[in-house]
Amino acid sequence: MNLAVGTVPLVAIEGLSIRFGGDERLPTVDAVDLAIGRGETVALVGESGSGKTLLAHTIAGILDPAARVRAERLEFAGVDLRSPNAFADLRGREIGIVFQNPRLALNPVRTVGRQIADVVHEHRGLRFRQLNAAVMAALAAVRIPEPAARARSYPNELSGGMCQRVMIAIALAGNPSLLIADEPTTGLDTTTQAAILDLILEHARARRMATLFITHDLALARAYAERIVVMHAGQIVEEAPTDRLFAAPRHPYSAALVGATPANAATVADLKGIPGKLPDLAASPPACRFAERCARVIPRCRSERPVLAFDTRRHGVACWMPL
Amino acid sequence: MTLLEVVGLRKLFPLEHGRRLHAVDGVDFAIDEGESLGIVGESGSGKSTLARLVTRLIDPSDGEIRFAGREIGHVPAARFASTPARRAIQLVFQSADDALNPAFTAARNIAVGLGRTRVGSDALARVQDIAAEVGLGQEHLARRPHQLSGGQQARVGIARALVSEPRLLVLDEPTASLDVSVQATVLKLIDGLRRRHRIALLFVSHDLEVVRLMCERVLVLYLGRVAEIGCAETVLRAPRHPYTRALVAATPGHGRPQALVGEPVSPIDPQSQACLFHSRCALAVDRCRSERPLLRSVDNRMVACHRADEAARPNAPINVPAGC
Amino acid sequence: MSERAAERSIVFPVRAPGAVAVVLLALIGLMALIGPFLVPYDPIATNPPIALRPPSSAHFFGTDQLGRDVFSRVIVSARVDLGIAFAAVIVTLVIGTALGAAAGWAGGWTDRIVSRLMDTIMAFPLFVLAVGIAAALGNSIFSVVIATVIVNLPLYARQARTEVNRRRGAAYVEAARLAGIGPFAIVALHIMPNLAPQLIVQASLNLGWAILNAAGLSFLGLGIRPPNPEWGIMVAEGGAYIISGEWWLFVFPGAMLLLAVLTFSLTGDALRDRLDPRRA
Repeated sequence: MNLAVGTVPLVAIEGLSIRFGGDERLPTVDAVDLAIGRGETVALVGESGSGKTLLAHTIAGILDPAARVRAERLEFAGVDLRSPNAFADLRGREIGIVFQNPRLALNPVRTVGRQIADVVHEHRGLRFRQLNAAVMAALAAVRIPEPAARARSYPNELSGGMCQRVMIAIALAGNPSLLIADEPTTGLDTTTQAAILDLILEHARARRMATLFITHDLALARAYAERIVVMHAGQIVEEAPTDRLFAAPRHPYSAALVGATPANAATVADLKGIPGKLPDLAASPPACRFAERCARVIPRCRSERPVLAFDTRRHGVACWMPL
Repeated sequence: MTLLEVVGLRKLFPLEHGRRLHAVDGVDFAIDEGESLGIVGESGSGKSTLARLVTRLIDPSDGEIRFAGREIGHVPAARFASTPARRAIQLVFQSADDALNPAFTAARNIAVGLGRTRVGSDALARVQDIAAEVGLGQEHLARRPHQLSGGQQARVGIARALVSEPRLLVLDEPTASLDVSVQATVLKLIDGLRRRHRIALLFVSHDLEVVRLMCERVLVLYLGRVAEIGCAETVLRAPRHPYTRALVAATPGHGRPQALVGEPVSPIDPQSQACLFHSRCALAVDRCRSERPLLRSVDNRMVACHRADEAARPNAPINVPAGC
Repeated sequence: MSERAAERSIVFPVRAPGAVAVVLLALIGLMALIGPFLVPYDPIATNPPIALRPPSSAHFFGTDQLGRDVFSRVIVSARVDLGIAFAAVIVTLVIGTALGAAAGWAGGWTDRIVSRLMDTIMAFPLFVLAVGIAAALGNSIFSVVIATVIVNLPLYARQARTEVNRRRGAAYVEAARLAGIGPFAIVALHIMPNLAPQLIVQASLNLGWAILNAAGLSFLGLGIRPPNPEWGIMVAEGGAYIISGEWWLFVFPGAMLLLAVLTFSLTGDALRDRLDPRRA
């Protein structure tokens, strides 16, 4: 568990595995540990197939019903998430979710105001004038200009940035202690992206709300998160406070990701791709799933999975040959 | 030697009630043989429309497009298809689901670049050569797109564009939907191919960092008009147009990104005599609302801003190669 | 597909409904192709003395009111009904798809004209149209085929129009235009292969209906005339004998109709599963 000693984590996950198909199949997400403290901003970084979205959906309680979850510990604010009705109270209230593609995530046939009202009513039981005032306040809190007019608009009449603000308003309506933002700025312009992320962080600070960002963009994670968790093929490979990760990445994959990010390269020649591709889980993958793509691989990497080991400065890496 | 010259290019899309969407509204630029020019802009900037105008997929409403000295903007699209210039300008699309024909094998998709629907024995060698050059194995050629990874699909798209040996390659967000590690490999591939074959590049992207890496010069587009154009290093290290500055400031990678507030003006029948950025510009004055700024030379690049002469605020240094 | 399902599909080429469909299809196909050569009796030879005999070992399906062997007549009808249905579906598939594709690609006036034409056709019930065409062209198989073709045109035209329109802006289509490939070649050779699976499914399901259409029209006296055997006529003539208890006169032809329509529906469903939407 990677939190300051003595703190009670908001999210406590140990040994979480997510499987599709029968028991004999290898798990897509492979025995991960994750802790998020109250008010913390954590970024979960990985490329496609890393399992980051599955992990986030598990915490949010919206995992695909076909997935089978096994965990030694899976708790939110002390509530065991493995019990059947755990999410009934939590989802939408204690845990807010912001998705990518906001226009697709909103209901196209209900006005924006109605959608916010639905959630506010659900969680706070307000009606009529009080409900209306709460909706206006929610729109103002996400800095939507002319809230009264906007409340009567449909999602397809609003820009992508506006839709995302509405989603954030909906996510915050229940006053959550954890906000999960899954690639919230995909498809948005760079200038809008900055505004949306600023908005999320501002609310996080004001409400002492923990935030879990899912992203494939290391530069974005670096700009907004206090702590970064790097995933590859369903395994957590490195975890560290942001500045420590970029000052000295210890896992070859993290270093490779940094080297592949255009923002960190001076010329094209400095850009580094990563050889190979994700392991085929059906074809006896190596124990460390990065082994076949790693320049520092040794035989042990294929047979024995490295454990995530932390140093005294909360920097953890799962590697037999760390940098 | 100037390969492509665009003068006063405009594209207006008619809407209902006689209104018109000004997608591209007076753009001028030129590209030399083997040179690379980046077009950066956000949604609504008109960069995709510009890419399609240059490749003659759509007809301009006004202005001129000259390729290798010959006017190609006024040739009707159908007739253009049979001119040699057609093969000399090619387009690499974003690697979305519909970039490649799902019913065709990779080989046939590449052959489309030669104007063919079947590979044919005479073109087979050429297809195989170009496939090898972009890093595709022979076994990939027989596969359909859904059997290929994102990176492989991107390579097929590039091969398709290169198979006819174009002199100008237009790329419209070619790596936008790829993982960052795959993007790195594809960008290096494009850069290598460009240098080896001395192809000019017109690289359209919303990603400033990618454009900085791939392009010698950059053109910043806002609501169909040129805001700034010059050497990539000059423009991105020390931008002079307030919009360019905002774009650079909002790009993650160098300190905390700064947001740009306000909404852009509508591109539908915008004021022709105004700077379209005035609604969001911290430096806006009355003149900006009544007089459209023209591109003029300021500090080694061209800027369209009445107040470009004001002392530029220092920006966080961006690692760019020297020279242009 | 999960791996287990993938394994299964290698060992058994189609899933259960598809397997049944294949068997039935083979059966009906054989019936149509070589049935007429193998039937025990001449389907139009009358034999009054043995009229209205119930099913027996000599006459599997019994005899009708004129002493004709019902079994032979049912088997021979397959060729007629299937022939009409296939002819009609193939012609309507080609014309309907071409019209729809043109409308979907060109838009503008082409689209408006084709769409209004299809709307007009859809306003006519099949039988009204068939009677009208029979009145104009004479009461023959040809009229029945034409009527079936016309009535089914909108089905293919609309599908083709939507699908072509949807793909008109696809990047791979733009790439083909960039390469100088003409619109006709793009629609016919680049876009059509992506629609082929859906069209085949549509046609397969449509065949079942076309058979019913043909039978229904001859039930009403259009198209096939007695004494030629045809399932619809046989059901019509056999209907008069329900009360008197000679059930075999209409049950067997009716059952064959049912079987034929079922076969093509199952085939269409099985094809829809196999021809993966990924290819679109």
